[in-house]
Amino acid sequence: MQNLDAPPRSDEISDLLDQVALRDQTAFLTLFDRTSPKLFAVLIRMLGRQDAVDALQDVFGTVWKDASEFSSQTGSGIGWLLTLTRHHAIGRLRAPTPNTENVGNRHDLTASDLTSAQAVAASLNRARLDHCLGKLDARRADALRRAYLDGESYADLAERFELPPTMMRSWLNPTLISLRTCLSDFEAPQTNG
Amino acid sequence: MDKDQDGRDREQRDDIMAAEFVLGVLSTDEHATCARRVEQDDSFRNKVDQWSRDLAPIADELTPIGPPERVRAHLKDHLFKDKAPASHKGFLAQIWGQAGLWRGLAAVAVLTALGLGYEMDRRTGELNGTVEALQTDLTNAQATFASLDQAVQAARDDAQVADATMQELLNRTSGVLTGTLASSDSPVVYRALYWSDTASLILVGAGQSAPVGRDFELWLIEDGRPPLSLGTIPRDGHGAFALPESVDRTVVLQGAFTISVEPLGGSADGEPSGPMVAAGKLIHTP
Repeated sequence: MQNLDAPPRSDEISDLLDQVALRDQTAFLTLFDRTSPKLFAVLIRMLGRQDAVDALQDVFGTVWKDASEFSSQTGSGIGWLLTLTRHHAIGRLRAPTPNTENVGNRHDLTASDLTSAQAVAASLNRARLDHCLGKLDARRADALRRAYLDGESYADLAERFELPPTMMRSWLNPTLISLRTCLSDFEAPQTNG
Repeated sequence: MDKDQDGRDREQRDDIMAAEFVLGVLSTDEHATCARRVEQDDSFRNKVDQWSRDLAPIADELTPIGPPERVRAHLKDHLFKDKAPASHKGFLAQIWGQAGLWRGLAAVAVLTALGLGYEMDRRTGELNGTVEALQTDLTNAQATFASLDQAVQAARDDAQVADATMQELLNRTSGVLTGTLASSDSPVVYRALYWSDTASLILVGAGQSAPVGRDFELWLIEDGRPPLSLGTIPRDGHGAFALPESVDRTVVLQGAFTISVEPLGGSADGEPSGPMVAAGKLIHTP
């Protein structure tokens, strides 16, 4: 099951993470400069500006310690960082003393510091996901995006979509299957970057 | 067939679970279980990596915002002293924020909280030691390469001298036969020149002489005949050989010349006995 569809491993963020794993301080600061605006935006969206500063500090502390946990074989650097960041934020959201003042922050796409080749790869990834989300039932796609951007749990989502909490999971699971099927169909064109 | 179906079902369940884990919609308990599984199950980890990559573009909906400069300064001041960053959030935040990740760290987070981050520092120290050792190796290897370069350069200089000698001879003579005796298995190289009017052959070596207690011996190999010894090569590497009458220009052109390693003074029984270190044919040089 070693994937034929492993993503190309020539992106800058993954390379930087590999160097950070070897305690390369310059690489760490470069990684911070490249990725912190995106991760900070995610944290602000999920936690509000005040907590986001503190959280960003913690996230990069974890990156410095745990970069060796990133698998350069199967992982995408930015994907790994985003999941790390989001999980950290969700941990804060669900901690007993929440301080949740969500600030909407939706905007057009940007690709600030990417080189053009990476920008192309990134936009292919984005086009693929947009296409596949577009094929899903709109409400379910929205639930998925909310879970991703706002860190909403099944319980939160059930409330928002006015469904019994027990049903939320079986409501969303087929969506995840459809999404994976569609993403797999479009895997090939983007693996030759 | 049912087993295949079971396998596919299990894969699909795992894939859904991986997506739920990445999204973060699971309960804290389930999330921690998944985090441990990522650590132990490569196939599950691959699925998690894949979802992390595939869902990442959703974050592009947000406009990047540069964080305050003090965050960078703080990280620079605190992290590089190799101390674990202080976490002042609760245990739950640690499960999600650290263990929440991949190699989950549920266990490590607890260890760190207990002050055993020392172990991680030690490993880091070991890793640094390894990197240093590798760097030393690299430096040594570079020095070796440099001295090899010098040796190669010296050999090239020798070859140039030999070439120049031969060129000079060529300029003075026309209609000679020339060739190179060499072998891919040995460093021995000789240039050979043959004058038909004097029936003489001159060898010019590129600096390699026979091992101590041995001589190089020159042979003419003709099709269907036993090898003919033309004599040993002087240890200074340059030799002139008078060829027997039976060896005329046609024979030289058709035959091949070889050099073998022999006892001092040459092979005792008139046949090559040691390894062949070079061979080649002579051709007409206009």
